[in-house]
Amino acid sequence: MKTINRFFALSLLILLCSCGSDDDDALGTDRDPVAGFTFETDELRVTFENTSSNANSYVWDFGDDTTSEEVDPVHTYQQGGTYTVILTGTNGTESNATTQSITVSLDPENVRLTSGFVITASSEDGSTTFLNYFAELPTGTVDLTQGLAVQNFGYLDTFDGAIFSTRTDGSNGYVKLGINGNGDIVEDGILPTTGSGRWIRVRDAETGVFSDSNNPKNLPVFNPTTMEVTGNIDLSAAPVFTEFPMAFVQTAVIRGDYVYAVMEEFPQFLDNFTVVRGSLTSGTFQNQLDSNSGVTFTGNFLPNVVDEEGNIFMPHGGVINLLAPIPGGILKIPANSTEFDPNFDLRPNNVLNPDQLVSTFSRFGYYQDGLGYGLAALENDPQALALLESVDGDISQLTEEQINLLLFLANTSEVANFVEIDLNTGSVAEVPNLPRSGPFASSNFTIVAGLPHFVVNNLSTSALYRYDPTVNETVEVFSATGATLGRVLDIGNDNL
Amino acid sequence: MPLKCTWLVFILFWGGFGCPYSYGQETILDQEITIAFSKATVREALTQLSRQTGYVINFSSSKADRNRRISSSFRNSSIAKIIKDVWGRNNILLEADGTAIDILVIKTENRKGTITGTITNNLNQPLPFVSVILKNTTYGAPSNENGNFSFQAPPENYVIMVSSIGYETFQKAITVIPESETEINIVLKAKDEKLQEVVVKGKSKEQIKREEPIKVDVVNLAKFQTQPVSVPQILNRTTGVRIRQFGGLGSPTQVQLNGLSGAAVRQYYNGIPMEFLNGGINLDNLPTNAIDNIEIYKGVVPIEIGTDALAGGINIVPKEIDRSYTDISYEFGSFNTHIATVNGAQMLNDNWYVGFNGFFNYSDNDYRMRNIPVATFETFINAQGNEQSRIVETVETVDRFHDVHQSSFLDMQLGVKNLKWADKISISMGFSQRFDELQTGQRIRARPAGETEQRASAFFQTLKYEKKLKKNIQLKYNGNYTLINEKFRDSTLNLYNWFGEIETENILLSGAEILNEPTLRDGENFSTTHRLTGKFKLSDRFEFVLNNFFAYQRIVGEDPAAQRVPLDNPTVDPNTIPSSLGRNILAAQLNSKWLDNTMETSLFGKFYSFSNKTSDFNQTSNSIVFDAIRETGEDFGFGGALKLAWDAQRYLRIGYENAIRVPSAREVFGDFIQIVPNFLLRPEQSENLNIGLFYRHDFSDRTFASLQVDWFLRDLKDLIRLDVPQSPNLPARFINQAEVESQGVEIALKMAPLKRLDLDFAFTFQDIINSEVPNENNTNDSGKPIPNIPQLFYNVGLGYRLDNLFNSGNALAFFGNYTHIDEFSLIFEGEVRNDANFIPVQDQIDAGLSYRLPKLGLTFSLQLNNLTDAELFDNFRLPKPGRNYRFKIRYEL
Repeated sequence: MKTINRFFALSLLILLCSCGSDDDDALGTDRDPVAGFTFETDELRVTFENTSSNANSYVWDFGDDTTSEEVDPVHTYQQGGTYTVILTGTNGTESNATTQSITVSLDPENVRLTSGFVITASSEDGSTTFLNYFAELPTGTVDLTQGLAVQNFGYLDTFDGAIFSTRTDGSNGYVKLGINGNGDIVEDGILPTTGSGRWIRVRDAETGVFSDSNNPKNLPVFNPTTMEVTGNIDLSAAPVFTEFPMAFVQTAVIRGDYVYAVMEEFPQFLDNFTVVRGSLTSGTFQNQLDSNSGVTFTGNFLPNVVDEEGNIFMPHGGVINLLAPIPGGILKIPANSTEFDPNFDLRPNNVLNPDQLVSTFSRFGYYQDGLGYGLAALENDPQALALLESVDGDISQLTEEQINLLLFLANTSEVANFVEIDLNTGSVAEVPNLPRSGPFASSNFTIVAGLPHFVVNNLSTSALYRYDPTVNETVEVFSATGATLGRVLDIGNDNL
Repeated sequence: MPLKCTWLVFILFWGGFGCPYSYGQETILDQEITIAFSKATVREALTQLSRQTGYVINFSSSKADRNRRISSSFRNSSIAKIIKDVWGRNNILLEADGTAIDILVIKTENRKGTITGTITNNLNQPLPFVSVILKNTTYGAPSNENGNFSFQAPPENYVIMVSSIGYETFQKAITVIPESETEINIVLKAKDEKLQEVVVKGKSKEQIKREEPIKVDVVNLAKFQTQPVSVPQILNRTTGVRIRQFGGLGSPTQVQLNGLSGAAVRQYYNGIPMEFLNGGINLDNLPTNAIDNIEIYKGVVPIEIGTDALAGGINIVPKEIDRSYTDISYEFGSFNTHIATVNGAQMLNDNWYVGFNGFFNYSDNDYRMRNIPVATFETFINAQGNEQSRIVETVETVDRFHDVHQSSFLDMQLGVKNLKWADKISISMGFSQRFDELQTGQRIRARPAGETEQRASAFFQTLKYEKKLKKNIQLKYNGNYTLINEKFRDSTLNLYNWFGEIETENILLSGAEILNEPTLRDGENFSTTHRLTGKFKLSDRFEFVLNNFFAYQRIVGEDPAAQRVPLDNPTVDPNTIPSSLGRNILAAQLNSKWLDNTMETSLFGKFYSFSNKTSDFNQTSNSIVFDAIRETGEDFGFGGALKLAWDAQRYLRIGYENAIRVPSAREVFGDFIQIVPNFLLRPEQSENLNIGLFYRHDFSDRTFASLQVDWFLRDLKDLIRLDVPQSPNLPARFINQAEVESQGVEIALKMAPLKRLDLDFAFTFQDIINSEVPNENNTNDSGKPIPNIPQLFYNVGLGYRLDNLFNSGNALAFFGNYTHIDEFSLIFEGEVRNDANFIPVQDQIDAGLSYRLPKLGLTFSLQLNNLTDAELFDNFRLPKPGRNYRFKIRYEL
């Protein structure tokens, strides 16, 4: 009887429950909740369908430290991987849990890699740049014509795995290039300009700034993630525009909330420059730095010219005028100042060779611990010297043809090399065991895996070298074939 | 008509032939009388005749007073015959009017008659290029492609003689009447039954030229002149040639020949490089009606044409004046295109003639382009809450709006033939003018040019002279003098978008739409060229040709917008510094025939010397040197060609040339703005080898098939290219660097499978490889195909004509053309395909029809271009027009 009663009560309860949940199948089965679910994945997005029974509340543990109490949740994972999803169903008193392992992955085309190396190379005729992606830095001899061929590539900055360059089809403006999960280089947005683009600088995921040579008084501010122009810095109040209304921005450095733009007189006569400071937050002109007449900047310095303390080291290229040459060098805007340090004027070429005739200095970049590297012309070409000696140094006695030959030799002979500059002490040393380049060769300094690396191009070499300053040792990493090595970009490092 | 009949009667009388169709008017000259003279002078005999007949006989007594005594009797002879016999010379014309007879004495040497006719075989097929001569004289001519011949000879009795291989020699007595046409139709009988089946075909002059030992393609323009097609369109249908344009009618053209282009391929007008005729004649605006043919020289260029071409050249040969004619045409079509041409000639007498040649072109060129990047401004509220504008770029379909082309040309020629001291001499004077709006540079950009324009006008004079000295020396001279005024305007602050609107958001800061800096240049160029050719026939087998070409060009201008050079105080506009360019090419060629004339060879050498002069300033050093400097140099090139013919239908041809191209003034001296001089530049060098086979088979009833297969190999060294260094501090300069190796196959198949159907197939496959190896460690680009050149293209042409529609004599012709160009890349290809670099496969179909009414001299034709409205591209992916039409009316008199 007791048993019958107990049965009766249970039946009644089931009946009641089943009435409430409209579940006829439950009739005569266990009333404990049974958790169950199915799911569909779409890349990182998973749509769950709850198939539990006898439960009225649920807790989902998605396995990525997030949970949900929805019945049929839709969850998007932050990254691909295998996750253990636990669904717990409760009927108020009893609960039941089920576990499934879910693997989600992005379509490789939608993945953006943030490590690896993009190595650029250009064809001899200049028509083509090849962009090659390598997950690991290659060694030996590498054919660099295997990647993506583009009509134009002017490297300007890297940030969060993306490369910012002038547009690859030769149009005016800038492009953001990413590396997808297949290792392919893809376009992730453009910033069109009316005039030609000369530089773009990215500060962080939300803020970057670029120039449009058609509109030098305004520097557009953009969002590097969405590649949308969000504002601008109005520099029209800068005094330089009164003197040279068409002055254009040759290059720029970002320090904190401020942009230091190097303005060049237009038309370009190579002997005037001005640095103008603008604010990224207020979008306004701040001040024009006291100029240092006779110093010329080149657009060839790297984005990383700010040291750990916030000092800006601005290189200038020098003037290759045989009658009145100006040696290239480095100026400093101290961390706590918005003006040049009048006492800082480092001329690396002349430190090593005071008699240097054509003292060009380019490709400068800051490394770390007060060290910077750049390409300096260190010697005079012997043939050029002989020519000069033949007239006792009096250039006016040379014929036009001889002067041209002199310049040709000065520009092309392999008399330049990368130097290590201790910016604190002013000491300069040639990077050891590195083949020399012409002063205007397409050699480059870059930082790869935390160490200084040098792309060296001369008549017989096109290779990448690694230099370890701690042990003062240089080794060849790889040499290029098929096309002339351009840049080696470690996309894991920002603002190279 | 009655007049002509009278002439016919005279011919019959004088020639002594019966006249089966004599329906001429009976005159007193035909009256038959009987008379006898005894030792009478001409004057006495004519007086006696006058008395007996009662007719007045008028004659020039001085001509009749000769020591001629006549003793003869005439029985029932016509008065005309009696007078003629009495006169005793063939230099009179008789005219009868009522009862008076005029004896007109003619100057025989100046009053030649014309002999015309047609030569056919007994199957009534015309026999082209068969020689017709008057026996024991030097008068004669070959028949043309239709078997027709025409030539002049002094009035006399002759025996006309026609002989051709496989036919019996034809001989017949004829009389030539002064200032009149004697028509004789000749049917040649085959020698025997066996040969009767073999139709011996003559060759057109184009075919003869094509068969010269030096490889040349000749496009005869006659068949295109009724069609509304342009010179670039025609050339694009031949093997090995691509003409690329920057837009519609009148836009600049670039010729690619065997994959090479730019300065390596020279363009000539009547043997004179077009660069010296600048401003007037261009491939793009030259109407077809004034052209006789176009010669395409690939690799080896004969010395009579060649200057310092590296890869060959294209020579436009204008019509030669040998008869009076007028040819007027008017063409209109899509995009408001109008082309009117007039050319013609008038023979003033047997020797003097005037010729004229003119055209007028106009087009809006406002064709539609698809998938064009278009930049516009949009406003937004920026982070600081201010209104700001930013650029957005979208892909749109747009119409060109600033691309008007207008040009005109007029050339008058006065010439004379058969003078004592000149076989031919002519002087021509002309004026040309053109105006072009420029919508884009070489490539389509997101912003168009809305104001840039270019004008040029030229005045030119040409003197041509030809003289045969003795029998074996021929002299030719062609001198040219041209003054050109050029204007280039690229200076505006207006910023345009592709919808033709001026953007108010911003200005064009650089002030120049296409160039880097504003330009308002006015140029005054002067050029003169002189070519002297001597041909010496040493024997039947050897001919020696000596050719000297001299050209001089002086370039000066001014540009108020140009950057001043701080040479002096005040500063100097570099455009005002004159540059000059002189070059001389002396060449000799020996042509020989061997092995019973089945083998022909040509050997030649060319000696180049040049002298370029300019005043220079140096931007690199900032040290300005202002001195006239002169750059001179010399070089030597050579080559040879061989042709081996099995018979008229089959031959093998081999040509080789070691060619030189002297650097141009611009390459040596730069452009005063962005390119600095390079005095170390060497001439470009090229080795060219061509081997070709030709075979033709004739079937019955004028159907035939011919096949020409050519293979070429070119090895070019020291090619000059612009070197733009990475450093913005270092200006660009031209350098000797590129080395290119190219080889290719060209197949031309022509046939007439039916009497009225013509089929043409032209196929080109070429492999143009960069062979430059800078050094052992740097093999950059080496072995890779040179970008931006199609590797494979072909053309199929078809024509069908109904020659005598409804027995009206009117002709209806249909023509169709299909061109295929394989996909090719603008730049070197990487492993990963980048669609942005490719010019996709292009298939173009053009079709049209023409209707000719020969009696009225009228032709109407209609052509539809790009029938399928396919997306077609030109230079650097510049879109070409979609479906469009042209309608042409031509009137010939």
